[in-house]
Amino acid sequence: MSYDPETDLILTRDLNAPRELLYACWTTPEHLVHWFVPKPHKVTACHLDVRPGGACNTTFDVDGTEIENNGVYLEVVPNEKLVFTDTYTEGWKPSPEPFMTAILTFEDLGDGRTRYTAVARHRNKEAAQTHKDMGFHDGWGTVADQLEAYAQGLK
Amino acid sequence: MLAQLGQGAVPVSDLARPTGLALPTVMRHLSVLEDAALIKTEKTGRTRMCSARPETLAATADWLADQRAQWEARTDRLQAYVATLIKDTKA
Repeated sequence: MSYDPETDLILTRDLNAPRELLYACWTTPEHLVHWFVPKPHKVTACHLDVRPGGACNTTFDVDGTEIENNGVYLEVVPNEKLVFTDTYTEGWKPSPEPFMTAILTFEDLGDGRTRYTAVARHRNKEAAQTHKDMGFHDGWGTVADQLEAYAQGLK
Repeated sequence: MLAQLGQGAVPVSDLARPTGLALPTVMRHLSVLEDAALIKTEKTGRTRMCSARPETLAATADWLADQRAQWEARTDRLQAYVATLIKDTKA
């Protein structure tokens, strides 16, 4: 697969967790709500029908505004790979403002470790601007720091 | 207003004049821009000076870097969350 450096991003990280658990975090609403959006924002609804064509819908509360993020899964390989997009919603309905396709892979490294790779392929810069205008990019970085600090406190 | 700030620090009253808006309205606009870290304001004597924060504007323009930051932060949270799950299982 060839990537477009203008519109695609690739993130790879080796994580200290078995891939079954990471996959469960991505595919189970009970898990996903805990980490998907930065605090103080909240996931207020989450419907995951984990099969190709199944809904991959989340609703966020961002400063009192509800933001819906609806899409479908395109490819599902349990514990190994998830591909989803907002280009379609449930029933293969085309979206008015498609933005991206995400490709997640979970590679078993042994000893309960996983090479986690997320590829996000975006339509174009203009679509990105629209996505940003939804107002949910603020504070992702700082919040990650807060959460990391919180997690350290739990140890 | 951001275009005008590109020329350097400007008193708030000078920013307001060409807009034809009331000063409190302009102040409200500026406070939104300030909250978004796009500008900074500081009081010099009786005048409030306003200036651009080009570092934020640059970051805003680089939308892909912004997306990357979101994915990195999300992965940080996933990592932290999964660590608590593993800890709970062992406990």
